[in-house]
Amino acid sequence: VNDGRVGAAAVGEDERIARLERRFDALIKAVIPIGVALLATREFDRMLETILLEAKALCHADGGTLYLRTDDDHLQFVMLRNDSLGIAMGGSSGGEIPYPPLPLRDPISGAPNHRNVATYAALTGESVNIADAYCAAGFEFSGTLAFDRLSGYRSTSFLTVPLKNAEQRVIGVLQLLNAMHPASGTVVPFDAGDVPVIEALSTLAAAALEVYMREEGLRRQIRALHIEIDEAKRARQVAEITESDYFRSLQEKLRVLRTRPG
Amino acid sequence: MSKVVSIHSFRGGTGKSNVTANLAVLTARAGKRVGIVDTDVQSPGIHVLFGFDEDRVERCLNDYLWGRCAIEETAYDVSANVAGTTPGAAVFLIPSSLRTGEIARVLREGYDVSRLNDGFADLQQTLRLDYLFIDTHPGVNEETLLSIAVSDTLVIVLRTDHQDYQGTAVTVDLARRLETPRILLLVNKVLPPFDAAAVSAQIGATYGVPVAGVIPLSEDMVRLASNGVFALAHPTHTVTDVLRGVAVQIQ
Repeated sequence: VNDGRVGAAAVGEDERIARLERRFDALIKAVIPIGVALLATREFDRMLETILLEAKALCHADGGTLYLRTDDDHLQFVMLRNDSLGIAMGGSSGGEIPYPPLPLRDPISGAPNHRNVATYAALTGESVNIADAYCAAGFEFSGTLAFDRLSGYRSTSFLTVPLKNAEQRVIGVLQLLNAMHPASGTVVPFDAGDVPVIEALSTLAAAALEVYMREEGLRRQIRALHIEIDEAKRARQVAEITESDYFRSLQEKLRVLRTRPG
Repeated sequence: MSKVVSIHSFRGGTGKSNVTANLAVLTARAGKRVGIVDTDVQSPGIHVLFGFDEDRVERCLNDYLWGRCAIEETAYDVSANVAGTTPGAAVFLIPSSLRTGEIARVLREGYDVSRLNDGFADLQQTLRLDYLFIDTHPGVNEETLLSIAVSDTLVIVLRTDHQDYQGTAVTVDLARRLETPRILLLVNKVLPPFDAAAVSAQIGATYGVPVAGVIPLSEDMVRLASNGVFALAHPTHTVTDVLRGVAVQIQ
């Protein structure tokens, strides 16, 4: 989905080539090295953070958020960064994220929640590129507007990409906020040409997220070991042995041994 | 006065022999004289870890048990392979016979278990051992009970597995009845990712026995299998660190 304003203007041949070069560079310098690092790492949470920061850097985005799709169909905030506000929550920042998860469905009617751009991307599996949240039709940015009111921030451009696993199931969402013009630093729309690169990074993020969640699940399982001992069986087994002649004579011998001096 | 350390597990496959070999070697490397007795006469195996060619074994524990020789004649000095250059360190191995005839005879006739006890005492004295490690047969039989009874420290190896939990409970009770001075648990082959502190706390609380270490299931361990002593092949590995910690607790 693209609201039409991005990349619609005719661009010259030189600029087209420059953009292609930039995409090529991004693939060679960011996407492939992250893919290689993923093969060797055990720290998938760290890799997720690296991917979020790399995606932000590629688009010169001021902010980025990583959501996880929970078993009860919500998008839960996992990591959040906003450079100009100096906000770092989740990941290695150690800070907890206070925002409640976004429901993918209406809790009563069960209807899909297409109002938030993040939930829309999760439900449809499509990337969404929005030039200005304040005049985007079809989406409700009430959360964003509330955030802006409190912080004095102006959320403008959004690039929202679903994280799909190998089975094409959406397991999370990567969202970038406020692309900055590299030279002037003013907020601009996300370049449509960057979308495939961010989508490529998202497949890596999905792979990392999936392993991370699986390992977290195992960790939780092991944290709560299911130790069950059949006490009746235990007492019976112990009695069978301790009441044997051998065991009694062994105890007798030990008594003699242990009272022996030295 | 030397210390006797038995390594036991209620079921097979816990990695008991591997643990015994590693604890013995790590103890030796702290400058101690150690002996390792393979009392698992029904399914011996620890000698393999020391690269021992069984065809060259002239005498083994079985010969002593049948009264064919003195126990010290069954001890093989393997220090050159494993003790490194630590002054004072020595490792002696007392293997069990792998000959099927011998194993069959043990199963058929049994042997005088008290002779085993005399053998332990002789070994400690003649080889001037600081530590005698006993690799026991899994489960509970007469020689394991004897080994547990004469031990200063009993290390029970278990996995995070339902049957191991049950069997460990029985072994702990028996060791308490035999008044073994010190009982330690060693949790082995824990699936990574895991939380060592949580595993240790839960298992320790369940049995009322200290957990000396929690060892993750390691690919490197699986790869080495029975081709050597892990702590020697991977001296800086996290698994070796845990084993070293256990060895320190035994000393």
